[in-house]
Amino acid sequence: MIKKILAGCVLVFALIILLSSMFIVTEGEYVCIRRFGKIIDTKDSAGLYFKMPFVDSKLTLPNKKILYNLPASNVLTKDKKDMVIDNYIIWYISDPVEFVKSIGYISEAERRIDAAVYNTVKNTMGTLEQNSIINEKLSGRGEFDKIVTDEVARQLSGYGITVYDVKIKKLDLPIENEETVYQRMISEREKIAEQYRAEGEYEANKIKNEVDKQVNIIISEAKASAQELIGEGEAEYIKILSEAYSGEKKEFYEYIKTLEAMKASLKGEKTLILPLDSPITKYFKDIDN
Amino acid sequence: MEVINVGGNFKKVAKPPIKLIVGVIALIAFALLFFNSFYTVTDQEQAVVLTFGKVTNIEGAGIHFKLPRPIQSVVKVPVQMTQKLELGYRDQGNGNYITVDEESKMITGDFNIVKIDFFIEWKVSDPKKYLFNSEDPKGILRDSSLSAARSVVGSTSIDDVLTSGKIAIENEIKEKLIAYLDIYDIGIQVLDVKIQDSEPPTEEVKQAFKNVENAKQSKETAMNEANKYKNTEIPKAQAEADRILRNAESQKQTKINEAKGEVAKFLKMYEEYKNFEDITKTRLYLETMEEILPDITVYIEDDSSSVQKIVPLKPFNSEGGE
Repeated sequence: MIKKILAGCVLVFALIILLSSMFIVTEGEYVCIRRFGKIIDTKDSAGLYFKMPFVDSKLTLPNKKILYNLPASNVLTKDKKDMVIDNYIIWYISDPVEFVKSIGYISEAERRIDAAVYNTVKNTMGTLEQNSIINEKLSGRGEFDKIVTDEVARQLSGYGITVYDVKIKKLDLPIENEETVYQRMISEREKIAEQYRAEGEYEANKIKNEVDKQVNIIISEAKASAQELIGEGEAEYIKILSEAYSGEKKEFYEYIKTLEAMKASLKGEKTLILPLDSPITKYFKDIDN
Repeated sequence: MEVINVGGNFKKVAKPPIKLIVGVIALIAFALLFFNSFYTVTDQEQAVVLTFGKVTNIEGAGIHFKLPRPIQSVVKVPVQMTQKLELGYRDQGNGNYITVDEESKMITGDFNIVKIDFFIEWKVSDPKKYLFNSEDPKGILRDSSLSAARSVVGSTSIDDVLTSGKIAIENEIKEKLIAYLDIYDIGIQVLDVKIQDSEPPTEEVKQAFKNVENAKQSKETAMNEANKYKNTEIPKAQAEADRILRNAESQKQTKINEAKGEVAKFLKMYEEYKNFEDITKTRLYLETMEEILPDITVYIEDDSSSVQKIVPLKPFNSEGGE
């Protein structure tokens, strides 16, 4: 009976030892084996492994790219413009032994990354004008990212860290400056609107003036032609009459015209004083005779 | 005796249940393990099979078997599914959106500020890389999208961002993003980048942009009105010109006709005159006198005599009356 219990205990104990000496490394992980605090082995590929039970302890670290978002910070450009910059960084632990020795924890690594990126960004920003940072086509923000990435990687190379990429996620004006930008945008738009209105007025007036000009030309040309026609009429009138009254008919014509003139001028109660040799008097004399 | 008996009885009754219970538990445990070892993969997914933490297989759609937990585990990844990442806004479903200014507000190449809402369509191109190459592939996608968008918008003018340049911007963002993700190698493929909405940053600025649109319209209106003026005034003038010309023509013709009439009348009279010269002359004279003299007092000034200068000539009708 005791033997049986003993055998059972040994079996359980052996099982515990076996299980505690086995460990699994999953994809995307490093597992460091520490014996009395010292790293004696590092597993970087996934699978089932064995270690010394109780004596060895294991430390798991990520063997994958880590995204870290830096807090946004204010920086000054070369032309002393204030900007808010927000970076992200992608990094990974390339040498876990070095990493554990020099930094130890992810949070501590992020603290150092923070400091390195902040300093590098600040220094690099200080060498560039504001518009060349914002406008990539003017200078190349890609270039900026590359300079920062290289410099940060250099600073962190001793810690078993590889820096993949440092990129500007956001680059904005400080909130205090935004209102100024809005005001400028509004005034710019007002200027453009004003220009459209003025253009509209100008174009419309141009058209109207042209129309008025044409109207005047049409009317005055018509008037000119009309005068000519009327003149033609008068000329024709004179021509017809003078042809008719020429030669021997002239005397009779004058006679008739005189009578008509008398008719026209002597209408109504009038007193007429005539010289004796007036043609009208002649006729009065004729009657008297 | 009795005690032993009882004990004996107890032993006899108790012994079989322990074995039975152990057996049943073992059976249940085995059954659980067995059934838990089956898993299904839908059409949209792929299953990454890990054996002792190592990727040993990737399974497609269907029902599959795996060894129990510590030995094998399975992670399903929606590989075929197109996923949407929203930036600058969040679709709350049922047509509601909330805006995320922090993401949408950007500075343009000409130092203006715009708000751009856009989304990225993406899918997992490599489930193994998606799971194990990075800690937070979606976070990386989000941040690199924001970075790409800002660098493109930062190089574009506000007018392009708000109107004509949208497609070019979308393409540039996509290109950049694909280049970034190529380097990161996190098993994500970008399918499309679409700008959902781009607008001025505040209501006041929006109003200013609207005013420009209105001004454009009012320019059009002014020109339309001017053209309308043109289309009515010119024909009006042409009509007036026509009226003037016809009037003049009629005057001309009238004058000519007048002349012809006069001449005709004169010729008739002349014909008569020619035949009876004196009679006609006298007759015409008398007719005229008859018409004018009744109302007239005539004096004739006689220069030849120094005695009486003026000869009174009484009207014919008043002579009889006095």
